[in-house]
Amino acid sequence: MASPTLRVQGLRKSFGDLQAVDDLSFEVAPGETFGLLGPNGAGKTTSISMICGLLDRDDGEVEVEGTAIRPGSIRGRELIGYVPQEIALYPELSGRDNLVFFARLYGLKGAEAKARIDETLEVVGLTERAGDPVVDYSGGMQRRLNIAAGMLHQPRLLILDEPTVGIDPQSRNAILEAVAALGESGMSVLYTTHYMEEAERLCRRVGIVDHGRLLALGTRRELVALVDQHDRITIRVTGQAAAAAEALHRLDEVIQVDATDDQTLECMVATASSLLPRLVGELDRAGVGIVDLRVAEPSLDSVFLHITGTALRD
Amino acid sequence: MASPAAHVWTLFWRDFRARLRDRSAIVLAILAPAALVTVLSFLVAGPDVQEIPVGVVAADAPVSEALEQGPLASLQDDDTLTVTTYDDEGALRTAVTDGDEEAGIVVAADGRSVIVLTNPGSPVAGAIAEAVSRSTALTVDGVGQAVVASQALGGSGDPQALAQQLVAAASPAEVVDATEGSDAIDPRTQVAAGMATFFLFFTVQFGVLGLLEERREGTLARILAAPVPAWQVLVSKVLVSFALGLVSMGFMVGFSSLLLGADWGDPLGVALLVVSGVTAAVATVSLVAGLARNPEQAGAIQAGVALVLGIVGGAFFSMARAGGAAAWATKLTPHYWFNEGLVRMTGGQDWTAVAGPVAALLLFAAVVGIPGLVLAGRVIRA
Ligand SMILES: Nc1ncnc2c1ncn2[C@@H]1O[C@H](COP(=O)(O)OP(=O)(O)O)[C@@H](O)[C@H]1O
Ligand SMILES: [Mg+2]
Repeated sequence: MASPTLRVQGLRKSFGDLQAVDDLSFEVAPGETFGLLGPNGAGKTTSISMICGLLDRDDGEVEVEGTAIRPGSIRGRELIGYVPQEIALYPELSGRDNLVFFARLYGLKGAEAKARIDETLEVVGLTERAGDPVVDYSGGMQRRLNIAAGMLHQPRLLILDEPTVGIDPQSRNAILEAVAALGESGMSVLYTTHYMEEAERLCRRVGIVDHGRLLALGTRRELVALVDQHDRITIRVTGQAAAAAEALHRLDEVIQVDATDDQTLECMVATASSLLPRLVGELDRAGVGIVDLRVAEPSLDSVFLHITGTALRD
Repeated sequence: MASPAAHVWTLFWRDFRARLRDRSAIVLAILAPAALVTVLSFLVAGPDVQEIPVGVVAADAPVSEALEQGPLASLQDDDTLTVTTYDDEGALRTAVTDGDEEAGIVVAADGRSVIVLTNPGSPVAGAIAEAVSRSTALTVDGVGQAVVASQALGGSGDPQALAQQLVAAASPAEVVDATEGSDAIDPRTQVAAGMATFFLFFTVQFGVLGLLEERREGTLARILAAPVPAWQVLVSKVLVSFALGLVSMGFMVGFSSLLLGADWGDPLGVALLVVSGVTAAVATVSLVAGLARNPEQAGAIQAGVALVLGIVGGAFFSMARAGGAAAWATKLTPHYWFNEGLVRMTGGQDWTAVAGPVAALLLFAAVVGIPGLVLAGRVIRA
């Protein structure tokens, strides 16, 4: 990876006997959306606090675009946008006034600040309600403003700490779409979550953390390969499922095939995408019509279960 | 990048504006001290209905003249007494018995004796009348033989015998007007200053203790994630406390002067006392912020500290006259030194008279505030 936006090396933090973060190292490439996935208490927030220079660390280094980030120094802070896990806004101020306040702390003022604020309000869909006090916002709206305050100054690296916790599906979707759009615009994003599907949807690469340790890191496919999981193909056929199963067994790549009833086949294969044309051809030759066909790639859920021995819980 | 001053102003103004709209801050800074000082100043200074009515029967004698032009005139001038002149002793006796007058002074026709008529129901009035008469009689030239007799109405004392006794024991009694001494300030100003400094220590909590609130709410972390050094955050919070303290004190000086007749003294001296008093209060709350774990604990500690300092410091009643440990302890409080500054400016002294008390207030601020700021700085770094 050529000169990463974020480089985290050997980060450690303990609270008394508790090792909250234990030798955490990873990088986020320019324009990449990187996910840190782990259950509550895994050490995600503690890691982020150290990355932002808000918390003294026991050991390790953090660099953003080559600038070392340290507690007690403001160097490099403007490169980072920080969206804390809790809603950190002034409830008595309007949405716009909150953004004006945080914009000033990043040195934005006048017409430039106004343009950035208008644009950001648009991105998070709060233009209409910008003049209302935040205390009157719904939870989802507050979450969106919380994100807006962190990305106002167009940071090189946006860090979002569980930005969708405890909100309705609609707001959640809006937030995921906004984050996806930021990723496409070229901003680097560090996204923590304990929701598997969010990591799968947003991030090409994911790090799995538990008890402060990075247990696995890679693209989803790399992680899945790690646990030797297979794609699952479910096929509904017009009939003679047993005969169809017989036919599919002849394909080398098919690891296992079962007829669950007279019209349904379940196949385990190594890689569904490359096999599908031949699989369809084989069924055709056997004279079996296809009603429906679904491919399920293995999820991070199973990866997590495999690595930690426990299921990811909400 | 924004300048430090721009950052501090942004942080200060956001907070200060919020406090001005915060009901509890306004109550503690303005409404509560204003209400209390209004009630208390009427209680201590009392309205004019407390003037004591005294009747006088005067003879054509030097004693009469001295009485009427001396103490009686001055006591009447400062609204302590209302003096009414009667033609004969009988009428005055009736008036005192009926309660129309609380005491009576009769100068005998020979001009050699004075009889004080007292009513057992009004012992204070009787004591004043007697003291006035005795001192006058004994100091009038050429009437060394003048005697004073006190005669409680309804009692059976012999006036002549009583007169002998009094002369034998005589040392000139003094009637000192306690409000005119050079080491006292008028009660209304004293009450206003007491209430103002008492509530000051509650008011200043709204800035610095906001650090703990913002830490819990997460806005502090968000501010510190921006390119804002920790010291700028601390300075902005100290300034909020300071500004609120000045608003509260300034209001109390103005309110009590304009509406309650308080007289704080030389404005420059008052300003110096106010600024150094507010500094001492902000120093105190900084130490509390540095020691407390959370906003609730800090609020409780600050309330306790404000109460103890206020009481020991004489915000309600002076401890200096209590003697012993209390008189010693009171001198450790900013409240005492603030009041002392006002006391030293009475009698027309200018602002230079407050130098000592101002130094004491600033010393308190340094001793408490320097460790306070160091500890409060840790709140931000943690
Ligand atoms: N200030 C702190 N003092 C003591 N323990 C802490 C503190 N902050 C976090 N922890 C502990 O560290 C562990 C990691 O917490 P956190 O980083 O918040 O996890 P996550 O964000 O992944 O849910 C948890 O066990 C948490 O209780
Ligand atoms: Mg967390």
